[in-house]
Amino acid sequence: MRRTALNPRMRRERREGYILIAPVCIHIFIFVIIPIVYAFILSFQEWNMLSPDKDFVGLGNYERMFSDSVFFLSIKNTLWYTVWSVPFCLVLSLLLAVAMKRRSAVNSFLRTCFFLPVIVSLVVTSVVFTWLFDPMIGLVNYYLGKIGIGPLVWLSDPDLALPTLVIVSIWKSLGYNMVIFLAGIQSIPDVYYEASRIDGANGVQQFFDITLPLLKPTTLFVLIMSVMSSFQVFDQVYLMTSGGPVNRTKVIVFYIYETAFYFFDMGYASALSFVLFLMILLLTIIQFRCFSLRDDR
Amino acid sequence: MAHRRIRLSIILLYIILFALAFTMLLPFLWMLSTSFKLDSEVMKYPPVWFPEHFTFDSYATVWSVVPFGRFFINSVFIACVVTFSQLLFDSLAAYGFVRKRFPGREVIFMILLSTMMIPRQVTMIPLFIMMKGMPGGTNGWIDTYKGIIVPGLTGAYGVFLMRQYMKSLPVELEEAAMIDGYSTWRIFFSIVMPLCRTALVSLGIFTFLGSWNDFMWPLIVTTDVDLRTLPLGIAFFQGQYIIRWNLIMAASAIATLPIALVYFFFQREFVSGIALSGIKE
Repeated sequence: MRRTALNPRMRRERREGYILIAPVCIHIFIFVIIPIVYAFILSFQEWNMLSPDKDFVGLGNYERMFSDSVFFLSIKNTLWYTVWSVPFCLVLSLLLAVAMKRRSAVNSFLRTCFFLPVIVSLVVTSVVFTWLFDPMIGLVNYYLGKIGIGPLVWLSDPDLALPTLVIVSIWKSLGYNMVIFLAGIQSIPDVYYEASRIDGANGVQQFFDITLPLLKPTTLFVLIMSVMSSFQVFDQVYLMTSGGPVNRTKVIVFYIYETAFYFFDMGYASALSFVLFLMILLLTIIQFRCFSLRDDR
Repeated sequence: MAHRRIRLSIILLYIILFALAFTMLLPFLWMLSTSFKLDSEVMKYPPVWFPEHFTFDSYATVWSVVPFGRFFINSVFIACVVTFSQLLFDSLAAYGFVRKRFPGREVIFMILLSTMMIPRQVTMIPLFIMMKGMPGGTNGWIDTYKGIIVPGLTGAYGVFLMRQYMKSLPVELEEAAMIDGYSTWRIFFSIVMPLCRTALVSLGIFTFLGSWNDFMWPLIVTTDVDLRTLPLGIAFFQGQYIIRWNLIMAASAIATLPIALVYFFFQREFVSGIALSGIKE
């Protein structure tokens, strides 16, 4: 009965709608949704890719994590990396954006300098920084030597390897955050600043009373994106340290990669990847909560 | 007095900014400087910034030591196919979501959006197994262009971005065209797509950049040297010629150049694209 109520034009619109979205929907169904379901099923199985049958182990893979010291170490490394790179990068990029908010030739030149690292591949970044941090003839050690520090072995030093990766990550992502902050700052109407100037507020007061509160949604976005990408760090680790020395840079994604593609322990690797997903989801929810709680006051 | 204090603090601020900006550029400058050196000068200590024998040798040698030309063509080919396909199919889908009414529209869009939440490490393992199981040969799509390209042919992010942009377009023009008897397809290609130029350029740049710089997926899905993309090629290069830094730096410079060019030509779209994704969220 309802079908006949549709006039031909509406029916054509429906059909065209489905045809328009079909390629993307089919593609995403096959290459994203099926793999997610597949990964979920795999995480309850044990399979090395060679044997034809997969053993169902229930929650075995998840239980295994509790007694896996490398897993805990990889979580610790990931958290350490995030805690040192994200806040520093966030604050510095915000300050840079505030300092360069006015449109001028000099500022646009400076912004370009800060933005360039964003577009370069992480492979090139890793290779260039490995060269810069070379313990024997690297440029960094040469200049540090001049002021009486070192020589340091950077990536081969268990205590310095992860901090070195943090430096690389800050260099790489500073410009991206800065651009998002700049867009946020430029959308704040000038009248707020003018009014506060008439009231006698100085630059520092304006920053804390106008810029910072109005940038809250932008800051939340930058924070969430930074934490997400810190939790997924891989390329630099693979290329610069391979998780060493003595597992001190083995972050969670590197551990997943190793488990899946060195040891072909597909079930356990899938379980690990779901734990990564849950951690990212949980952190995102916590960040949302913290920010909206402060709204209520 | 107050005026002079402000002037002084601005000068001080710019000194700090320039120093920081120089630090950001330093790795690039060192990359270029090293790439123009002879083998002997690379290992010199203390290091020199300006090579005594300024040479382009490394840029010529790179192509013969490893199949670097092949890596370059692979990267161009893969990035172009992926970008073209995403621009076309993501916009088509976005157009459907914005302008057509059909049952399940909102639900399907929400499902698409929520797939963006899933980190790619979750799908990486099953995708690898699926690629291995694809029909054709014992290894399926492993070590084929299909294996590298096909999983990236569309993206939920692109649909989201294009939908946001298309929503802001006036519908009157399309309605007038419809009255004139234009088909949906003709409206899409001759009216909507040209109006979406800015968004298409932004999405195109991001997709190209993402594909050009991607390391993890090609690493997983290929072992064949002939299928390597530039990032993989450079990584492999560094593993093999560990101390020929001038060659490695020349290779890095070559891999960076196309991206740098794209950036200089489309700087505005580049930055506004990032800003768009930051604000619209």
